[in-house]
Amino acid sequence: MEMLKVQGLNKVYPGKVATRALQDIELTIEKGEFVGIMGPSGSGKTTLLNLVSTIDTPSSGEVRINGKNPHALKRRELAAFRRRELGFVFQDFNLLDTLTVAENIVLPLTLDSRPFREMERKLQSIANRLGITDILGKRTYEISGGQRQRAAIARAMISSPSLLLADEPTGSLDSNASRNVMELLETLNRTEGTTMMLVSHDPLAASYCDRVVFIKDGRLTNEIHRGDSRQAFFQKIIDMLSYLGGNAHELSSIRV
Amino acid sequence: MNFLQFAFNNVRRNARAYFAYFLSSAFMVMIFFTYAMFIFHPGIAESEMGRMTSIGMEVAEYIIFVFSILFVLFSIGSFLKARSKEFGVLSLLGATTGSINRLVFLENLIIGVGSIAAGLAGGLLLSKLFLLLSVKVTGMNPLPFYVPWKAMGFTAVAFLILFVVLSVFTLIFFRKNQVIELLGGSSKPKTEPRVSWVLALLGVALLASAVLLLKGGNGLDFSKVMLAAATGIWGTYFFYTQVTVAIIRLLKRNRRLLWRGTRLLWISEMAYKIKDNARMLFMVTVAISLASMSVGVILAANAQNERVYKANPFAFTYGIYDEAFFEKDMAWIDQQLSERGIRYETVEQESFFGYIRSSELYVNVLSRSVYNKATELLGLQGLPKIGPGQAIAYAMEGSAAEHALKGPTLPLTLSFLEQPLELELLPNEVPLTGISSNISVVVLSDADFTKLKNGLTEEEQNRLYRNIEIYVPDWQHKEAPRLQDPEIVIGKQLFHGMMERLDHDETSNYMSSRGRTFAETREQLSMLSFVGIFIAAIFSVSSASFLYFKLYSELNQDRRMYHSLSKIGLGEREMRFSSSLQIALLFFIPVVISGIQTMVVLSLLGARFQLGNVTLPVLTASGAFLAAQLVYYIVVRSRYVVQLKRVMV
Repeated sequence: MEMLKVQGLNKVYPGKVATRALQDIELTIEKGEFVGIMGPSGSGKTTLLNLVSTIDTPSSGEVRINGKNPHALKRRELAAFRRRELGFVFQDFNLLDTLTVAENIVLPLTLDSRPFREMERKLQSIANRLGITDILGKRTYEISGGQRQRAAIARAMISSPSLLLADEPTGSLDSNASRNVMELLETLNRTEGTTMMLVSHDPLAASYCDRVVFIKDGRLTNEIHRGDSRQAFFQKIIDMLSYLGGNAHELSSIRV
Repeated sequence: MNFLQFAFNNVRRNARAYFAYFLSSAFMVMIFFTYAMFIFHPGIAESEMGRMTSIGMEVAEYIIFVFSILFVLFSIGSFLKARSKEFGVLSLLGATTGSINRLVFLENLIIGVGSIAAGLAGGLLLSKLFLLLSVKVTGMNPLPFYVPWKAMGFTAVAFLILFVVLSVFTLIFFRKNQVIELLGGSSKPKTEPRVSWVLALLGVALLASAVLLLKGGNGLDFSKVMLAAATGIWGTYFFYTQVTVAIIRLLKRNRRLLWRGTRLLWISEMAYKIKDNARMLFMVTVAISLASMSVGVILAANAQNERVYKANPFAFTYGIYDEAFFEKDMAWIDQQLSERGIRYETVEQESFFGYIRSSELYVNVLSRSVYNKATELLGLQGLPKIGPGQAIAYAMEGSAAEHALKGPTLPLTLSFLEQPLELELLPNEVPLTGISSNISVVVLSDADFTKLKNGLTEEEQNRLYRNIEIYVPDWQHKEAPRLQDPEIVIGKQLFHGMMERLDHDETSNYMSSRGRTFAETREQLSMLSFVGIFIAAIFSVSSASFLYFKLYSELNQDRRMYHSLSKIGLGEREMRFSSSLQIALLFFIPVVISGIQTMVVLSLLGARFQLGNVTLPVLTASGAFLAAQLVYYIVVRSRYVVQLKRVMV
């Protein structure tokens, strides 16, 4: 079953000089798949994420999440759609300082006015699975970065979303915490069957995905599957990145 | 771009932040200037009312100036804090502390000079209107318009000094932080507002003790009122810094209550907003409380003045202290009234000025036959027979005495006698009327009154009065008179005529006029309210300006928060609700609290100072503040929500 289907997606930022941020993107993510999006700076991966996460509207083309087109929804319905169908994990966590960890996690449910018992139950269960039961009463500034990202993942997961979107989730973490967070996402993907889309610069983070799609200058250029060991996958990602960007860039233009 | 241009551009481009501050400062300068113009007016010293008004305005000038100092100090302080990131960038670029200070100083000076200019211009435009209005309400002779150089100079110099001194002052005390802290701005995570349960309880105890001080015990002296004011103000401070946070803390304990819709969001945010703004909310509350108390007192006194006027059926009361002048005085009064073609009748009254200790009430004690002589003259039903040891009492409607003297059979003890007189209060069977300018009357049987009179000691004899009450049938007193009515005009003439006789030793007796007393009180109250209303307006405008600025400096934080919340599914309607509610609470909590304070204080004090029923005046005063606050709220909220709407995705 297709959880995310992107067809003929274009995004043009109008202006004196119109910028084509995305061109003819075709992308399908199956249910339970863990897909990474990678590409050099300015390649359009954040734009793609924004379009998928309904934060931005496409110039043309279509995004379907779980069979529904969120861009056809009215504003109010869209907010409810985000609460129920999407989960977000951000680089800078976006947890509210004014709330405790528990309150941060249940926030999407309270906004949806769910019954109290259900919230309580879901909070306990997600906290158990993520191993953050003992920090539920703490404030966001009292816990470490890795714990914060865990709390943010719990918040994203609590409404059992169709699609979890992670935007550079390891960008603000040290290597140890990064590994923990990525292992957590991988486990959640395996055990809960949550469909995930990860946007990252970090090849190590991307190596936890089933499949990595590369984007450059607004176009999808390549795609590699994990298949074998993660170490080998990591190496392939590095190779692909150096081929796409950085120093390889000049070489590639000569090659054409 | 030179340095001055840089400072100027900073001000111009931060217009949105400085807008409310500039307007409030200009408004304060304007009011200060208009008062100064009145005080320096060459025609002002000519009339007594003018002199009194200008004293009132001088007091008002001090209040405005002190308040301006607080306002400017507070505003500059918060501007500096809000702009710390900018100062961080400047220091990173190599600006020295000195040059940043110079920049801030210049900016303050630009705004200061601008608001002085705007205030003076506004004041000049309004001056003709103001002079007209002040003459009208105080009933003085018209004051000609003049070019008030003196007032202009005075205002400009006073405020220039204020702005310069305060800019320097804030810069000296502005903490010089590390660049890194400055660059961080206000994005450091805020720790949870701390609450001390001891202090919260202390706050409640202070507020309660203020009420008890005003309520409890006999005799209310000045020091007790001041003590009550001090504990009340202190309690209000703890109310904002501790009690409110404690209440929110308690609310947050109940998850079932809290975890619903946007409640989780705004209740948690509120704890921070109130704690952060506690000092400002406290200041606003105290300012509004004081202003509404003053307005409430003036309104209540006005209503009381009218009631006293309506309750007194006699146009003049002539009090006899020296029998020797009696005949001559009466002839003079007769001549004065006849000359003006006024019909009148007189009735003589002998009364004892008594005191009822249990209810702290002064009353006129009369005999039944004297009272009935008056009712006969007025064409009213006389009192039935009163037995020995019995009394019938009358109290003016709406007066504090009404409660004490009304009701079923009550024991009544007249003090101020060596032997207190125990009386049994009879129920009223006929409609009663006041019979003199004193509002509370106790009527005894003739025999009891004679006994009372004969039993008086030498000293107590002084409390026995003989009055001639003069009744003018043509002068109705159902409605409050206008100031040009014959009763007022003639009343004033006779009163002053009698005072002249007193000055020339032609008499040593005193005559009061119902109309003159009414008009005098009304004029003084109008003057007070005229002066006071602008101060109240200043309090109101600047409190709104405080709030506006505080909200503005927190806007970026809220923008960030709502932006990320909208990503996880916070709808626009929920954002609107949550942020509007928070702004509304900040705007209306002080008004509601000060309304409650005003009500409590005035109803407690009003009973003692014969202010009559204060509910309506308090509601009027607080209602006016509420209405003003509502206008500011609508404006600020719409601007704020528009800003937030831009970050919603």
